[in-house]
Amino acid sequence: MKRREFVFSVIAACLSTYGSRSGIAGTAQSIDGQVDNNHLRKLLESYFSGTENPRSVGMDYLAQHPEMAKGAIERTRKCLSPASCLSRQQHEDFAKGRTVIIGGWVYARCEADLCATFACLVNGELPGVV
Amino acid sequence: MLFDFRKLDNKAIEADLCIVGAGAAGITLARSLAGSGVRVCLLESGGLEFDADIQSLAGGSDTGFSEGAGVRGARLRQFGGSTNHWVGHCAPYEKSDFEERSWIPHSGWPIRKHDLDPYYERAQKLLELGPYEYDLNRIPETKGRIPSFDPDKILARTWQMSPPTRFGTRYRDELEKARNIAVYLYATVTELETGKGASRVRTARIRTLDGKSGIAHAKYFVVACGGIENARLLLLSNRMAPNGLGNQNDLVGRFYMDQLRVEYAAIAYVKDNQVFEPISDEFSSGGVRYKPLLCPAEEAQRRDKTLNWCAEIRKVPPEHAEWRVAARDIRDALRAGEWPDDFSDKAWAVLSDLDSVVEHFYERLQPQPLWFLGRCECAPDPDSRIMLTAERDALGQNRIQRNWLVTEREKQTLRSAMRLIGEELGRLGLGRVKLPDWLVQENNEWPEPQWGVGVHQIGTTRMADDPRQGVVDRNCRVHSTENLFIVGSSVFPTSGYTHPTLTTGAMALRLADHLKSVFQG
Repeated sequence: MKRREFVFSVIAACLSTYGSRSGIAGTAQSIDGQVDNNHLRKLLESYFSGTENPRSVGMDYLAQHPEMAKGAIERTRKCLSPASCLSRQQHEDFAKGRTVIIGGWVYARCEADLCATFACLVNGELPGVV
Repeated sequence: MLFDFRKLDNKAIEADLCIVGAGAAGITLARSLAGSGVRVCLLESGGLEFDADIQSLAGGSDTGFSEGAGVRGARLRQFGGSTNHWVGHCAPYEKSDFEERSWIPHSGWPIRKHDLDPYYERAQKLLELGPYEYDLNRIPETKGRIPSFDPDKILARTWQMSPPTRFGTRYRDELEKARNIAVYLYATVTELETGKGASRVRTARIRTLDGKSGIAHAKYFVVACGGIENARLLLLSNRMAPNGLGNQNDLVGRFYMDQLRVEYAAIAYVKDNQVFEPISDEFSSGGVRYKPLLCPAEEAQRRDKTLNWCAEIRKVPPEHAEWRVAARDIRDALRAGEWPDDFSDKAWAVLSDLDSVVEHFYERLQPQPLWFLGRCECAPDPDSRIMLTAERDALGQNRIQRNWLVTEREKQTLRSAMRLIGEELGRLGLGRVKLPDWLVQENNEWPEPQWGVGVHQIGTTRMADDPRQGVVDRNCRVHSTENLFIVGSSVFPTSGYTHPTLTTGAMALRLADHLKSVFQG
């Protein structure tokens, strides 16, 4: 399997987990799904000053730590609502050792989750996302 | 009294106690017995000054893990031994260093930290240090200024810096004046001679480079020649014990360890350098220099299944050029970006473009990042060893070969260490940590010049209650030989990350007390 195929199989697994476990997922996968994902993408774009770095971090995270990345999108949605929740989640991840090393940097899992979600949305290959 | 053995007419020495080796351990032991009534002879292979011909007796070869100086590194055959060129870092081994750790095979000492504490306290004076206190939170200059690390993860500790004490210079007069101590220079011990069964040493055979020879008779013998030569002398003493003295279980020379040092284990971009001053900057207190370091809590070692380690924070980059490559790589990746008004509240900005954030830290806020130097204990491994080879030195003695083994465990330890520091800096909102690429990779590759060694030879005659597990018992007596003791870092069952001189001093003081009780019957 090529790296790209592998990465997107992980993405699909993330979304599958999300779709099967989350009540919100049902919404995302149905009539409102595209709106939710578009909204999420816009939200993330407003957070990130550029596209390539977070996308790259997200892709590396999905490729190198697929098990940890499972459920990334579900977790991202939760910790972005409200957005202030993110810093709390970040603190908690560091405190509990939920971290991942990507490109040498030590990231909180929620940060890597955000990047992974962003990568999925930017790549436009999410189920339900055009 | 101090003699040049080469110039003596009578080359038969009589003593109650014969100490072989006048380095930190041998000198400490001898001076502890000054005025005791015990007749002590202290035999030193070298002279008062460095002698290249004598030094060449210590040569050997390397296989396995090695760096620049190789097995020759650091050892000095000279009165005062390696203290003639040591830097002076001192700290006691930690409680966990002495304990058996289920995730580290062959770990655990037969004695505990509290057994050594009284001797550590006495060794402070020996090494011209301050009070026996190594917790930065308890030292007035730094108390209350340490970042609030989770005590189950990271502890702020310190080295104390010895002047450094040059034992040969500092204690020479004392030894010369002691009426019960005779120091013999240029007296290289080539063999410990025993009777049949090798249960008791009778004499130490002495030779000189100018072809003279002699013997030292004593009731008790102590080998104090350092981590490599201690094992070598036992292996060379094989007339009655074919495998070498004390080597009936094939343990002499095994479990060789050093300590690893990685100059650039991580780089940190921080919000405020001043926050780190109490844990990075050297300071003086009461005339003693302190050098802060970060260590793992026992709980963190257990959870991450690591060896013991420490990290020093430096404001100046490591000397070798590798850091420049790392810095250039980072800066090449930097892109324009907006610095968030409030870093901690807008945490996602770190994600939005980490390199941009780093750039602003680097160029606008903190012109200098912080560098983490990592030090790491090495795992005890029976296959990591020194052995005799067929090659001979100028006295016809077999030279040694060192086969030092380092595994992925040491690298995993340093990786976990820097990650833990990164987690704590992230949790506290103090900054972000980046590890070098080679350290992130899960393999046993150690590209030079990324790493160095402590040049502290440890573990070749390890201490254990069970003769099948160690060469000496808890009192440093060779299990198989009733009147032979060993002192120095060769008896340490684990290496710790800490420079071993303070522990060597403490162990020598402890042995001195034991021998006093032995002589008192």
